[in-house]
Amino acid sequence: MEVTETEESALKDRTNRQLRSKELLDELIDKAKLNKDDLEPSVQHIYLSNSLTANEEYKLLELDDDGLNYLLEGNSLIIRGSETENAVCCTKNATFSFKVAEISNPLLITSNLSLSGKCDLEASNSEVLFLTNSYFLMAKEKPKLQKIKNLLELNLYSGRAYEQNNAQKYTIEHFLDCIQASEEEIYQYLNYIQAFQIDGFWRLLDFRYLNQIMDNILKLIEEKCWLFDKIPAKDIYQELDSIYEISVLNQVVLYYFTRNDDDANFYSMRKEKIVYFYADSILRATIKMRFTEFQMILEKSLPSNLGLEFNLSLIQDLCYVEEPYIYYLNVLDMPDDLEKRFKYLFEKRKKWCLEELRAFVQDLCSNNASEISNALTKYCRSYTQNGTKYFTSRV
Amino acid sequence: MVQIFIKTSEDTGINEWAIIELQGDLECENGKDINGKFMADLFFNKDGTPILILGHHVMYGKVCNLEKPMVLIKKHKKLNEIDDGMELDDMKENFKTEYLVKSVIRKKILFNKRPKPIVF
Repeated sequence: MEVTETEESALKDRTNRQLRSKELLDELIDKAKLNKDDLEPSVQHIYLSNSLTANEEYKLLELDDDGLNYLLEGNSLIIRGSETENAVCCTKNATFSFKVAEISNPLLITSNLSLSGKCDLEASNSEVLFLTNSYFLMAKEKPKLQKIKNLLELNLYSGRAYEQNNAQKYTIEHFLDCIQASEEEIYQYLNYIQAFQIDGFWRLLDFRYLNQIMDNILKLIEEKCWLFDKIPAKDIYQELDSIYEISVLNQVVLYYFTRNDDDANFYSMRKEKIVYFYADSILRATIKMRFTEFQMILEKSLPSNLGLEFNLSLIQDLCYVEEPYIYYLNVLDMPDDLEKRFKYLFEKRKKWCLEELRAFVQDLCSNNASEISNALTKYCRSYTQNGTKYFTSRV
Repeated sequence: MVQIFIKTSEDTGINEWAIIELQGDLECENGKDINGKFMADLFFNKDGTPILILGHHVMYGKVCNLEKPMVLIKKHKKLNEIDDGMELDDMKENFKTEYLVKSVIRKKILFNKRPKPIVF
């Protein structure tokens, strides 16, 4: 619509646009059959910005209140992705999918707009800066972190003597550049797989090397007759620092012992973790063995007098039992995608009972009962036999 | 893989803007440049109803709160910090893309009722 404005009533405001004249507006109101008495006295003139069509630099992003506050407090959201992957968006401690939503109605993003019409000025100008049919939205998701383990396994640590100078080593910055996850989730995963910090780089220890260190520490504890809950960590370092680096010993202690609340000089054994470790070392060496034999060997491997007791429930994500055998099956070796995880599990074994299966999928379900239940419903069939519920593949 | 930061800018404050949502496509005269052009007049009834006069049409709308807030972000090329060891050749690819938050949007005016034609 082209309506001419009368010359004498053409005014300009701060943005240097002509304000539309009173006569023109009165005519519009009249022709539009609006009742002037019903209207608020102020009017807003909406212009398209000078660079509206040129502007490919704007994007519209939908957040939730937490996400918005996070930004307004000065934090950054970080989009991480490559051309071949779907992008994710991360805060310091969470990962979200980053997708486009398209709608049929055009959205005009307008500056300086009053939404009540109660304005001091009789007339004002607003500008449409961006016109779009789409916006980005975020939904919380679980990051894929197994790549970290795969990278670290390429260069396991077995002590300085065996170090390869030209092998690729990783810091947290390297991970932030190639893993689609938040920083804190990466640290949590590094803790979960028991990674060590050596010379500023994250490393996984060669299992036999760690086994050696553990053997030495436990032998020392037995020799010195230390109580399981009163272990002087400093003495461990003193006795063993000729063989192993103190920073490595320290991290082993942090993984397998806890500092006492009442006296920071002493640590307590994390009994279940140590039992798990020795069970792991036996199982991974044999893969399949008689359950009774396994129990016997484990008992012999564990130091006596320290109250270390074995219970099958301690190692549920490390094995499964099909009488009379026990089979090694480590959750850390399994795919980190839920669908692939179930496929892997059912390829190993056609049917599982609830407790066994739960142990192998709970890490992908935030250890949450209802999430686990939903996953079982989605990916498995179930039936009951002799009072026990069994799960099989849907495929 | 790339990392692209979305953040607020230290220099400018955060504006609070709004969305006008129309039904159907916004048609403009063919071939003409629409940049900088006048689009519409917005009135409000005393009962708070927004009224838009756009072209030959008058539309009645509704002010709504967005279910979730939105932000308008703008692409910005930032110069990478210069390391001492950098050569002149390295400087060519020394820009990092980031997005700065220009405004927060919590409300919109929705015009989805059938427009009434204006006869001049």
